[in-house]
Amino acid sequence: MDKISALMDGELDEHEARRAVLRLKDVGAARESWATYHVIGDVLRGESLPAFDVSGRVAAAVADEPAILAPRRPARMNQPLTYALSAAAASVAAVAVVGWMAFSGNLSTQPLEIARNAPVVQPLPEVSTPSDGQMNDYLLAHQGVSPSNRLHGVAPYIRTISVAPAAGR
Amino acid sequence: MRVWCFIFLGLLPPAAVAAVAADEALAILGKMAAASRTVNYSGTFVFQHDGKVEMSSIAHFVNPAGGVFERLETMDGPAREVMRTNDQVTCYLPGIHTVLIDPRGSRQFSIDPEQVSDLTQHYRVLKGDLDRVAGFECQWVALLPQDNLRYARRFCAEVQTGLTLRSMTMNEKNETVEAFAFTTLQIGGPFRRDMVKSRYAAISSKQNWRVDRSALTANDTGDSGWAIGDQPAGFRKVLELRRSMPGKKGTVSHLVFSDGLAAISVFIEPGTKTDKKQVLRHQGAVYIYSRPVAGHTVTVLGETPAETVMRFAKSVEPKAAPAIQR
Repeated sequence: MDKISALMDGELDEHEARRAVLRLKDVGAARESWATYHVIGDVLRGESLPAFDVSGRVAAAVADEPAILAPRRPARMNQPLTYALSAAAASVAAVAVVGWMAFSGNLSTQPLEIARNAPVVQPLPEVSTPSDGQMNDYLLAHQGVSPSNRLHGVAPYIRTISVAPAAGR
Repeated sequence: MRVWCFIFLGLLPPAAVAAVAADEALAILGKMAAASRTVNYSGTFVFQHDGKVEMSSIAHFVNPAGGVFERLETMDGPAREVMRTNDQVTCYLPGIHTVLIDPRGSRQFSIDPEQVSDLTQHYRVLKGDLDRVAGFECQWVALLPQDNLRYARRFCAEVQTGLTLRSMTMNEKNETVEAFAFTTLQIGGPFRRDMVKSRYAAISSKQNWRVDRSALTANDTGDSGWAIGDQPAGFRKVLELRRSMPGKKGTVSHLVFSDGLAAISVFIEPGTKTDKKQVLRHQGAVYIYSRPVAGHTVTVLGETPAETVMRFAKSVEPKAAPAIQR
């Protein structure tokens, strides 16, 4: 797994990178670590996330491609020092966090699950359609009882008023 | 050997992010929850959901003479307004001349210590970097779920007051399903009645807008007669009551389950609509699922992945024996 972190940070040479990518291809857990490291990296940086699904994309890519990925040149060589330092810090901290997770419980059921591509694991039996406003009364009754809404004041009520039902329902 | 190195590294103090102990999580979340009620503020925020971004103005003022007032008005699209006066939440929908009222919105629930201890069992609470949102310094906190029954949440809480300045809700694919961020903000200042005065209260009564009001049923024994056979892990029943709902004959049973952060509401009402099969809908981070059970309609909604909502819906069952008379 430490290889995955290094791959993510562009620290592996070509040979090592190829081996790491082969591991990604073969080992589900390694693929999950790849995604998890990205999640942790984002937490570390407190970044807003573009919607991305690393595990799915990597799986699709490595399934189609021969493993001849050239490693990204190490970031520290052509990036400002601060970037390299933050990447290094991120990988150390990521290892620390994952290490801590490993230490504190059963790794196989721990947050490696977070980034799993749910439709592969458990396809949704139904397709969800956007609410048409008919459920606003239920939404309103629900909003008042949800602890997470307490953290936002009245803002989550946007959901209730976002879609108005057709008049004269 | 490598595994042990790994664990050893895990014991080193992490550089920029720290797993937060339960009591610290309680302190942070408690401060955020309190701030949303006690801090005077006004500003504009964006709320991103279902592929759209809506901008709204918001003002929240506590009257020292008594009363907590909050007003939200959308700035894009059709005009809509949400008012909170103490515990009552009123939504004005001028486009369809309708008023929605929840007399006890946002009262029942605080983030209590018991719930936070639950929280740390089901989420990893991580303290992140300092950031800056709408001109204020804030502290990132992440809650990462340990299973795929709940969403990941990130909050950036203003350093002094704890007010939530920015937040994101992410699904299991790490896609943002909802995001909230202040774009302009003023914190503090004296009570200003004019900032929390409804634009539509007077005209709605004058023009006799349709009023949809729910209410709690008096003398409620707290036994709905329904139970969840296979309750998803980590959710506890925190409320069970009967309420009247607009347009529904008789009372609707309302059961609420929570993991300390997300909540699931289960509504059970007599009768089934003949044209209604099982239906899954969503509104932002909230999934809504309806299905008929034993001559009743069960409607489950919560700010969780669809799977969680559906698991609740599929395990709703009448209690085997009728409630014992007290």
